[in-house]
Amino acid sequence: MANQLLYGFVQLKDLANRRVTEVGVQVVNDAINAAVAEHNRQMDTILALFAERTTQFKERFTSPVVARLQPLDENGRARPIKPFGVYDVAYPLQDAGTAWGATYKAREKMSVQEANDITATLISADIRWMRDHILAALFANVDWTFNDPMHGALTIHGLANGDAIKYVIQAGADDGLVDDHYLGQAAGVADATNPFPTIYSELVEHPENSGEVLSFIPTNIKSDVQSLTTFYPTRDPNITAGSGVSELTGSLGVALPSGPASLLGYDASGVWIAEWKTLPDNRIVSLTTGGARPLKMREDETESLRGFKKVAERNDHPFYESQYLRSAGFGGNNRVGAVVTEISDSSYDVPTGYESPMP
Amino acid sequence: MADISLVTANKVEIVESFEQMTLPTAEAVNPGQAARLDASTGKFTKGNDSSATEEGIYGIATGGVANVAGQPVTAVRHGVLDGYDLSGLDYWDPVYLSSTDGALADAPGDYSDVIIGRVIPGTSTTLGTAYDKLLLVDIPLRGA
Repeated sequence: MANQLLYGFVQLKDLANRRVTEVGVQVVNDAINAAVAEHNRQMDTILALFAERTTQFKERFTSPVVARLQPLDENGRARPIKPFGVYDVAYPLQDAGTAWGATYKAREKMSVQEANDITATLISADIRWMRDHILAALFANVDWTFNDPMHGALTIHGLANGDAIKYVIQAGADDGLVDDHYLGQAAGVADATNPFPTIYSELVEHPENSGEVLSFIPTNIKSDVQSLTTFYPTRDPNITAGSGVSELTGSLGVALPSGPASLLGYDASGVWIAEWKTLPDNRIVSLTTGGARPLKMREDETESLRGFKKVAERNDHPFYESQYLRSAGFGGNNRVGAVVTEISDSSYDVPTGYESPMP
Repeated sequence: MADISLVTANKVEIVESFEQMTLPTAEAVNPGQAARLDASTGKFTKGNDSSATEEGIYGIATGGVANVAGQPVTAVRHGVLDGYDLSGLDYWDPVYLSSTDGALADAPGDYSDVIIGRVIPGTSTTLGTAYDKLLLVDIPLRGA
């Protein structure tokens, strides 16, 4: 972590080895606050692909309805129709925090670099918590109950899981049907068992979804995916391809959040493929870049309780603590807006450690 | 009964302290050792589970360096400490005062059962990693 400075600490680069008390406690506090604010802004980028923000605890998701003109004659008039379908969705609100503490002497001796490094650790703890909760919400193929202290028992959905809710499916027909976006295939990834055509179909058959189809793959299947004859890697600027070699010329059109994922290439079935190193083995998470997001992130109605922020100092000389808090929760929104595929298992299972509720 | 060792010799860190006292020592009382009050000097000295007098400990010494007799040490009576090798114990298992002078143990000592604390989890670990094990210290009022 040494020699890497967070956003708020860049202007203190030349003072990294100086003590906080020399540079000024308020100056360093301002740097910490700026770093945390930039972290919250970057979290918006990560969230933009997966979740929309809300302060609602429960909503009705409006989905398209299969409507067609009614046949009429000279005397006829159409009857009013329901312009959209609805299904109920709800979101949890969970608290989590972290803290760092030091004795009076340790604080007096702390350098700007050390303050930067501590802040980076706290921010990384928040990134992990958010990542784990986003993934748990996507992996949840069984509804679970969140007991909200204000609003009572809330049923939290994941993606479409074969329950009674019907979705418009435009695949050979144009009808409302039940659907299941938790898939499993017994075989590994290979040309004969390429999961991406199915993933593509499952997402684009729903009018709620639009844009490009993007799949995040775990590292353990990366080489198998790259070995598909239908896979085209992103261009390497250091290499010029020879004649007769097909090259990927298109682009994804959206920026991937820096850190979690790196774009690998494109499968000819129409799926962009990115590696997400911290995805659990054998789980592919896919979504579209347009349309309603598969999840919503609920935050508190009170603005001061949103985001990741320092909320308190807890001082009991010689011990001094800074407490940080995040209040948020994730639940299904557009329940056909993503697909989770388990490889090497014909029956989908929630990955170990990602059971809901996620702590 | 097995004495509980430290992960790093002479290093016990305070995670939380609700009640503590800092006194010079009548004999070396190193971090991690049980400390009682010397009746005549009012300084810390080591305690153990061998008699009513010896088992009347105040708290557990903390710090990062070995103590020298006469130098002060802070003993925590009620709080959370980090630095013991608790890998052989389960969460909420009791930790006892040992018959060995100054030591803590995983089973009662020779004189009586003095539970000085219990194993609790530290939850700041990544998904799939077992929680850390910390020592919740809550010393009962004992002694002659």
